[in-house]
Amino acid sequence: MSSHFDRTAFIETIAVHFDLIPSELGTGSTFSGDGFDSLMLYELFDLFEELVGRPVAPGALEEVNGIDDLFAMYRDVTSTSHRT
Amino acid sequence: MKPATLNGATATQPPVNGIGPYPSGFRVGRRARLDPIEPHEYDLIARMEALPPTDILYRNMAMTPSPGAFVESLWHGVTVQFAIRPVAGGDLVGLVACYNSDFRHGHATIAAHIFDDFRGRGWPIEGVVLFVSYLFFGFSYRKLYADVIDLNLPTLRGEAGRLVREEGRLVDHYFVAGEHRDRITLAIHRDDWVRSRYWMAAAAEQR
Repeated sequence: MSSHFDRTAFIETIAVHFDLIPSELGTGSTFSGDGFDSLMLYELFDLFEELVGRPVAPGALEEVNGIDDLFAMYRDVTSTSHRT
Repeated sequence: MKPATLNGATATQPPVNGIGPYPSGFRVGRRARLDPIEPHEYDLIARMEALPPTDILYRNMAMTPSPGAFVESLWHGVTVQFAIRPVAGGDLVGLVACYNSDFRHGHATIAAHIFDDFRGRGWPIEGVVLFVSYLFFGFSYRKLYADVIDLNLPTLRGEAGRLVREEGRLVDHYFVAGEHRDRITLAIHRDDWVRSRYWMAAAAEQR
């Protein structure tokens, strides 16, 4: 499932998946600041790969600090996908 | 039967109650793998368990057993225990253990320790997911329990979180860091797990 989400839709998709309130996500600069623990992060990264439509290299997501970082990576990955 | 899926990959799910094919990469996921613990790693494990706050929140709960007693306690009552490593190999990033197996009634207790440097990264949790599938595939457990201090209770949201049920709470059971804390017993049911995307997911991808 590769889509063209803007930041709002991206965050809303994640929030719905975890039964969270979208307005509460993206306010922290880190995942833990947004209430993600390890179990949720594990699932979030799987969800991310579904959103971009392909696997992400192991380790790439380790440098991602929060939802906004993740959205930036989403934009990068999907724009690369569309160019190729 | 619903196919096992992960990241869009699908494969035929092995029989739940029959003998299915044993996938060669069964303990290998996309980001993490399960390997035997090497004896030379006992010192590293002891050091990781001695780091605060693990020293008071995990297995030994403020006690400092002798080196010999530490290794003995590491394996006491254990049915299966693995090191979690990065999928490419290398140093262990945590441990998973299954202990107190009750084969008459079909349950056991599991524990996971993700080392401090790797906590909050997400990917080492795949080792726990692989471990649960390994146990339900290799043993006839109906349920796997996990006893946690309320301070360690994971956020049970999302698909993975919904597979974990809170089934018991002993109020003020533990004494931790100067106060009494509840012991919470979580449970993963075989029926829930084998219907989930996490059942044999990694192995399914490799076939």
